[in-house]
Amino acid sequence: MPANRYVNNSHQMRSTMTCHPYKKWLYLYRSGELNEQEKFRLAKHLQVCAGCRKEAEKTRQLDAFRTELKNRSIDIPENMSINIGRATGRVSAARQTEHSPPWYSRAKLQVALLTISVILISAYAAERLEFHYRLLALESRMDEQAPELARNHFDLSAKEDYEKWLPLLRKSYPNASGGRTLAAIRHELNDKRLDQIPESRLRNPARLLDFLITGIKRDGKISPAQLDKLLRQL
Amino acid sequence: MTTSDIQLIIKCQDGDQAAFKTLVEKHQSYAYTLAFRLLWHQQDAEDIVQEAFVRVWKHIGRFERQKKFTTWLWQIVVRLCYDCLKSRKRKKRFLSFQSNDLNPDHLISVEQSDQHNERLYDLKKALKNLSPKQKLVFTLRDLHDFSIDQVVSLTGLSPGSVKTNLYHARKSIRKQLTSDEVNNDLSSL
Repeated sequence: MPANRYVNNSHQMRSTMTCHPYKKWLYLYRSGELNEQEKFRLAKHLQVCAGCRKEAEKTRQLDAFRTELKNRSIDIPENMSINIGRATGRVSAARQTEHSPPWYSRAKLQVALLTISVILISAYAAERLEFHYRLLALESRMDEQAPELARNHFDLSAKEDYEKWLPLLRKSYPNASGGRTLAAIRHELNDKRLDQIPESRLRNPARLLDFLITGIKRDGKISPAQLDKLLRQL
Repeated sequence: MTTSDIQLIIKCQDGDQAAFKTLVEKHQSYAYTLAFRLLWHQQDAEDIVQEAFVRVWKHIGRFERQKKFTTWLWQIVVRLCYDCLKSRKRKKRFLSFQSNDLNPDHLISVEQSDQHNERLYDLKKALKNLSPKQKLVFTLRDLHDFSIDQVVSLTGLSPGSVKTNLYHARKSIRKQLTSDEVNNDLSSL
């Protein structure tokens, strides 16, 4: 008895194992669910396995069930499209409200823009003011340290003696280096713009200096940055 | 995508609500049928279809015209239904015997009520034990005849997962049908 039981059990185990993918494949019998190789193997297995053949017959019950469910009529609710229209209308209305910000948001934006503008204008004005004060500082240093230069140099009636101005400037400003010296700048300007300088400026070193520097910047002879660097060195 | 669908979508993307209404009327029946067969509940199906079209309207501007509109719409319907099924499973309220689904006013004519309702009940009972994924895959494949690739696209499941869920669904339904037959045979004795 024990031997028979073991033989029967091992037979059942063996048949279960050999039916392993086929029991699943039996239920994937509609078009496209198994590839050609799987279909071939299943067909071969069904030739030798009565249990799977019986199972395959039972799967046919699913066809009737499926057909019955598919054929069952389904009535569309009458007002469904109206309800959908209302719901999408609410979405559109909500979207329009989002695009127009409330008044306080607009005011915040305006205040922010105004603040940024004030900051930018202030920064520009501060930079111009600072440059102006540095020019004034230079004029005062020149008056203190090279009075003869201020007197002689700005006397343009002696313009042809510019060569003596240069050593005076170099003597007065020994550390002047990099870029062009003020003397060379003024010399060039004197040559070109002599007839354009008003007489009142000839007697006023500060005003002449300002005029010359403005002219330098306008004519592009020297950039503001270069001039600034030169002034710091002096 | 049909030429008329393309033309309607272009108009919808420009904000034309009349064109959207035409699009709804064209596709709402199939969308409702799909949702109802997934949920077997009229109110839930109607809510899902409404939500699906609202989402379409919200995102129509981003819809790529070279894609198929119906695929997009069915994807939304299917995924909303799947969420609903998962939620139901958590609430355990599927197949309430007092539900409106058995009410003939919602489904069928009054004359056919009794016998037809019993049969509907039997059919739905066969689906009762399916998991949300199994129900999804079975409905799409066997009731709507979508191909495996289409089911993959609509559900986001892998092909292997679709086939596995299909196998389990069909096996479960077959077992349920067999046990019903046995019970009917026994009760007639």
